[in-house]
Amino acid sequence: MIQANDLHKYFGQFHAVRGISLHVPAGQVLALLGPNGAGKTTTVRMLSAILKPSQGTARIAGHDVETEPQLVRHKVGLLTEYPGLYARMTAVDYLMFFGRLQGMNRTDCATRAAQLLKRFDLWSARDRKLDGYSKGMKQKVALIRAMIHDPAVLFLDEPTTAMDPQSARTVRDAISDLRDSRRAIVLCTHNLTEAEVLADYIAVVRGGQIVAQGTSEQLTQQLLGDPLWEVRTARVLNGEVSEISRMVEVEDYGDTWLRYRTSRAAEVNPALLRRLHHAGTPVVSLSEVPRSLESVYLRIVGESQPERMAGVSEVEEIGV
Amino acid sequence: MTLLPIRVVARREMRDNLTDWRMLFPVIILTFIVPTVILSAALYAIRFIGDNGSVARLIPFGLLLSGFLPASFSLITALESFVGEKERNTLESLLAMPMSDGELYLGKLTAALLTPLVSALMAMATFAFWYNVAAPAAVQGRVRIDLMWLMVALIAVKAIVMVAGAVIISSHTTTVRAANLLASFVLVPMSVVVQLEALVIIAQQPQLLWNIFWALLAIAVMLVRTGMNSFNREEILSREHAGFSTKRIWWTFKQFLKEFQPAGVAPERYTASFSLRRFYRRDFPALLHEYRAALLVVFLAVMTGLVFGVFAFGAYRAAWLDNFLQRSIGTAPRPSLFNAAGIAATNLRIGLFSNVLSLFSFGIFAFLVPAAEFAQIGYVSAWYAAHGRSPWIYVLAYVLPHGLILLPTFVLSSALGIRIGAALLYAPRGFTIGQNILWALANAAKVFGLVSLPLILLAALIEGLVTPEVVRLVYGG
Repeated sequence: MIQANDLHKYFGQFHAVRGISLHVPAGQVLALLGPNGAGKTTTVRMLSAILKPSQGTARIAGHDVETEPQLVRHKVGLLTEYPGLYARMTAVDYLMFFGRLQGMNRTDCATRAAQLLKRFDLWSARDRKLDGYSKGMKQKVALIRAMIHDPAVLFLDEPTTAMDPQSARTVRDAISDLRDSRRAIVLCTHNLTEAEVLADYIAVVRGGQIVAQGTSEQLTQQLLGDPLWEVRTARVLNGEVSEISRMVEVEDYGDTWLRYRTSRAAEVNPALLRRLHHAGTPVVSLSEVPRSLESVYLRIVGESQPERMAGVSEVEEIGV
Repeated sequence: MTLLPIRVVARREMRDNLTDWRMLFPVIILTFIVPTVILSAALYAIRFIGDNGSVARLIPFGLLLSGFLPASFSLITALESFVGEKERNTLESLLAMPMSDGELYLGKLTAALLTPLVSALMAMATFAFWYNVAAPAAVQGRVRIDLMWLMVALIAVKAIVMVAGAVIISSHTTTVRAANLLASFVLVPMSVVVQLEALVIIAQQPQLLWNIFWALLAIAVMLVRTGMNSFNREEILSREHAGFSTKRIWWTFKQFLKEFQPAGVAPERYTASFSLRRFYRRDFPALLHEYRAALLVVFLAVMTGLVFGVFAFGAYRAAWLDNFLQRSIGTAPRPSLFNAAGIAATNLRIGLFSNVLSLFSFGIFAFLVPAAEFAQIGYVSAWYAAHGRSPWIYVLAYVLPHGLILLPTFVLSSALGIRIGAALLYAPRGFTIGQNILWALANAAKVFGLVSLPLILLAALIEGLVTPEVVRLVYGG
C-alpha cells in the first residue's frame, strides 16, 4: 500500500531526507519515531504528494507520488503536525469543506461527517465555531478531517497530542479499527507507549535516515541485548551466586536477589530454580525485568552520529 | 482544471471574510459612507468656488477615488490568502487536497478578488446614486457619462492588478508581516497611477485614460499568469527551511557575480571564478540572449515613447516650449569637458536610480526611462516637422552622435532594471524569489560596471565635445 524506495529530499544545500525506504502493506501500522527535525514530516509530505522527492520513488495505493500526485492525495488522509483549523467555521462546515475538496457529494459528506463526529463525541458541539473548541477537540476534528473520505492510507502526525486519556483511548481505538479495516497507517509520534501499543513495525529516523527498525521486541532485543531476569529469594544468597554464574551471565546481585541475562529462558529458568531448590534456598519470585521502548529510543537517538547503528537491523524495507 | 475545487475554496474564503467584523466594518464604511462624503465635498467645492465648469471635472475623479479606497483596503485579504493560512497552520491540510496548484491558486485569487471588486463597484454605485440625487442639473450637464463608465472600468482593472500582485506576494512570503511590508510594491505604483489619472481627468483626455486602461489590463493578465505559473506547493513548504542570513545573501550575490549562468541554476553550481575575458567573450552575449524578453519589453517602451511623443505634440502645445525650441534650433553649448562631466553624472544617476527604483516598482521605472527618452525625441521631431524642418536632420545632428552609444546603453540598462522588477513576481524553476532578485541585481551590477559605465562616460564625452560641433556643422552655427 505504501512503498518508498531510497527517498531523498534536498532544500537547497540542506539534505533533509537521506535515502529512506519503507513498505507498509494494507492492515499495518508503522510508527516513525525520531527527534524533532529528524526528517519525519518531510518524509510524510513526500509520501502525501505535497513535496516532490529530490531522488527516489514512492507509490501510494498503486499511484506514483511524482507523476500522479492528485490521485495520491485522494487516497491519503493526512493529519498534520498542527490541527490548523479554520477558527470561524463550525465542525460540520469544516468537514464538509474538506469532503467536497476530496470530491465527495454533499449527502455522502454530511452522512460521513455525522458518523465520525458521533464516534468521536463531538456531535453535540457540531454547530459551535472551532475557535471555541478545546485543544483535544480540535485535534479530534483534524483527525476526522483526515478520515472524512475514508482513505486507503493515513499519515497521522501526533494523533493524540493534547487529548485527555479518554479521548486518546478513543483515537487509539479508531486507529486500531482502521488497521482492522485494512488501511495502511503511518504514525509519527513521540509517544512511545502509543507506538508500542499501536504499531506493527517501528522505524527510528534520525538525521534524515532510518537508523533502526523492526518490531518493538526486535528493537529491544537488538538494542538492549538478551532479556534480563530477576530472581528473589527468602534468605541470603551465599555460595549460590558463583554456581549460578557458571550457568548464566549474572548482571548484578544483592543479598536476596540476582539478575541475569539469557535468551534461552525456557531451559535456563527451570534449571536455575532446581539448583536453588536443591541448595535449600526458597524462591520468592522469578520475573523478567521490563524494558521499555523508551530505553531503546533513547539509546538510538542518544548516539552522537546519525549514521546507521552497528548491531541494528539494516533491512531496507519495513513491514511484514 | 475543474471548477468544483475553485468554487469550494473561493466560497469558503469569501464566507470567512464576510463573517469577520474587523474586515467587514471598515469595508462598509469605505463602500457606503466615504463615497457620500467625497461627493458632498466635491459639490461643496463647486458651490464654494461657484464655477460649475472646471470644478465639475473633479466629479469623475471623486468616483475613481470612491472605488479605489475600498479596493485598496480589501488588499488585506489578498495579502493574507496564502501566508495567513501558513501562519495559522491551516495551509498544509489544504495543500494535501487532490486539486492542482492552478485550481488552488485560482480559488484563492477569485475569493481575494471578489471582495475588493464588489466593494469598489458598490462604492462607485453609491457615489453615482448620490450624484444623481444630489448634484445640481448644471453640474450634471458638465460631467461626461462616458468618462464615468471609464472610471468604473479603470477601478475594476486596478482591483485585479492590485489583488493579483498581492496574491503573488502572499504566496512568496513567509510571514504576514513581510507580506504587509511588501504591499507597498502594489500600493505605491497604483497610487502613482491614480495621481496620473487625476491629471488626465482634469485635462479631460479620455483617450489617454483608455491607454492607461489597456496598459493596466495587460499588467493584470501578466500578473495573473505569472502568479499561476510561479505558484507551487513545493516552493511554499520549502521556504520553511530558508532562514534569513545576511552572510548567506552576500555569499549568493557573490556567486552570481562570478560568472553568468541562466536563471534557475543554483548558486552552489557556480564553480568558475570571475574572469574579465570570459565576461566579454561568453557571459555578456549569453546574458543578452537570456534577457531577450526584457529587451523586447524595452523595445516596446521605445516604440510607445516615440509614438507618445509625436501624439503628445499634437495634443499638448505650450507657448514656452515653442519659444524654447524655436530659439534652440541650430544652437549648442560650447564643447567642454565640464559639460561632458555634468552629462555623465546625470546619465549615471538616471541609469542607477531607474534600476534601484525598479526593485520597488515591478520594473516600471526602468520601463519609463527609455519611454521618456524616446518620447522627447518623438515630440521634438514632430515639432521640427510641423515647423517645416527635417526631423531627420535634427536626429542626425542632436541625437545620433552620442545617441548611437547612449541609447543602446539605456536600452540595456532598462532591460536589466525590468528584469530586477520582474524578479519579484516570478522565480524560474530552481530559484526562490530571493535568489531571483539577487541574480538580477548581480547581473545588473556586473553589466553596469563593465559595460554601461564606460559607455555612458564615452557617450558623455561625445555629447559634451563632439555633438555641439556636429550641430554647428549641420546647422551652420
